[in-house]
Amino acid sequence: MTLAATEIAAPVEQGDLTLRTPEGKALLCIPAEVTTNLRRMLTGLMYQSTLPRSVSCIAALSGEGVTYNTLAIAATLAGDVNARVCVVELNWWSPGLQALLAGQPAQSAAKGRRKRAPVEPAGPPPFPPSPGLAALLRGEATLEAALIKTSLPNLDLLPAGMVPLHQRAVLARSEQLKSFLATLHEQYDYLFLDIPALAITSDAIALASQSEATCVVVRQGVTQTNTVKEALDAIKHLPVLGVILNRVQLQTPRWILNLLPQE
Amino acid sequence: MVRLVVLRVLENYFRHRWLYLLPIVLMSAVAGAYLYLATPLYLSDGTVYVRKESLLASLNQVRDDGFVWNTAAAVAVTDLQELVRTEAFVRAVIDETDLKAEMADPVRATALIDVYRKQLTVTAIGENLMGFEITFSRPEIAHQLADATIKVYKTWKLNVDQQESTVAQAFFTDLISPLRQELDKARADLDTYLQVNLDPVRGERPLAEQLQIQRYQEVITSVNVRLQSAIEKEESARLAMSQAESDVDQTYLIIDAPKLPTEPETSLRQMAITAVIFVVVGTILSAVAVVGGALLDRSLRMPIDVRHELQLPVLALVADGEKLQKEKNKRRGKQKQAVVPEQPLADLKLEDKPAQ
Repeated sequence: MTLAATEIAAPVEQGDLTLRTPEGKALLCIPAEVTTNLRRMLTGLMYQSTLPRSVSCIAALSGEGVTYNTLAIAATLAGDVNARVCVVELNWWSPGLQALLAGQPAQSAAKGRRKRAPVEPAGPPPFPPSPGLAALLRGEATLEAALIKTSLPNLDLLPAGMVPLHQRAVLARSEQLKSFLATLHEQYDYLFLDIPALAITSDAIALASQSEATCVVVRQGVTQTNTVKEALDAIKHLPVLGVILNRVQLQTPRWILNLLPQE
Repeated sequence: MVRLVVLRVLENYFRHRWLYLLPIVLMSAVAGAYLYLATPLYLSDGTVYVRKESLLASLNQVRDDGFVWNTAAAVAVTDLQELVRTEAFVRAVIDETDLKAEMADPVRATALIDVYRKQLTVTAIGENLMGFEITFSRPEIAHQLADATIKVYKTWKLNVDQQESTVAQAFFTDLISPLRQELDKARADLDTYLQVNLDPVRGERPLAEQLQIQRYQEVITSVNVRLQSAIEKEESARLAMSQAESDVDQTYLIIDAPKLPTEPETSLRQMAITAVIFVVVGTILSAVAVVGGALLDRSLRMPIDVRHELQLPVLALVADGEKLQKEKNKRRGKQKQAVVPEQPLADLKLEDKPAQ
């Protein structure tokens, strides 16, 4: 694998990774601090040969930042290596990928759990709306139409689309989804699956099982240990790569942390 | 495990450091207010030697484990402590001081009585010594209260002793008068009998008369004996009354008379120690809050938490992207404001060039 041309994604600030549409419209800016950490993680996994070809990102509760982290991991990997990467959103309960790219707040299933400041309605999204995976599986759209292309030629995004509530459980366990993901495996080197929170639906277990391994996203200082443990119990049949602590704000001064290493 | 707890406690503290510093700040403010508002208290004390031992008072106190022997000083201390609970005694003490005028106001009087009760300390020192001390914001009042306390106590003891004598005197005085009347009557009866029954010219009185006269004389003797006894006892009671005052003075001998205090009891050092105690209490409260908060917080805060609680590796610590972006945007905005519009090189004059 050779290093990809990250300059395609024009940095806003040195080290920042900005995802753009092929036309150059900004989609999402991932700060350098985030990409640096994710790069360290990916490098470690790759050189230890423990990075599977399909990884699902899962959380115990909604609002933990699974979509953002899935996207950031995929973008970082696609920016760093010459491998075809695709983000597949399987979260039909609170799809947030398109909203995130359009700069809008996600439709959280757990409204009111975390209050957000009221956001003024944004303008039209900088990319044509995707019918999503749901339409693709129904045969109403092609893969090309469903994918959102980015300025990184080796990174594609596949939003979830809309699936009626009663069909979600069936779809999550369907052979159709399984075979579709197998097809995607042929086209992409790495698949990153955005899975709904385990607290919202048990279908998340079935969806996560579509991947080779999973990583758990936990919001630092918010999610209770027992909740995460319960979630891990639910997916104990899956190999867990580890935990991504999200929205970390360590207040302890660095010099103290250096005195008390956590290893 | 220790490292985990220490890290969690530190993180918890730095997360809400101003909140956790609040108890220290508040208690420091209280300490400052105390130093500013505290009034100095003056102490006046004295020692009384209690000579008399009341056997009855010592033996009548019975406990489960048997009899308890109380010393003279202990009995006097108990007496005084019980008296202090009565309003009459306290009023009598305060009336002896310059605070007498203030006792006219019922509210102020109640307050003064409470202050007196709180500030008076009476202790038994050994078997016969009773120590007492009183603190007050004014030195002369402290001195007067200490003086008045022992004075009123002695007066009360005197009254108790005199009361017994007074009762005895009154009893015997009441007894003397009827006895005198009885004696007079007996004598009059004898005289009357003798006048009616004159001595015979020859020979002796008949036996019946002799017996009657003897009976009258026996009555007179008996009443006379009783009268004399009553008079003696009445005199004894009167003597005891006059001796009671000197007895009380001898029984409760003032060894150390209360003195006028010249320096306040609460020194600057003690006040400083009290202020420090406030700050220490604030610090302890803060520490308890920090440790308690850290132990009650069951969220995952640090990589060590993940490794310890979930036995999983931490893949990455992802900072809050939104917050980072906002901070960067703010920084960029400031930088834009700080940028001075560049001057075209062609417009630069010789004097505009920086000195080499």
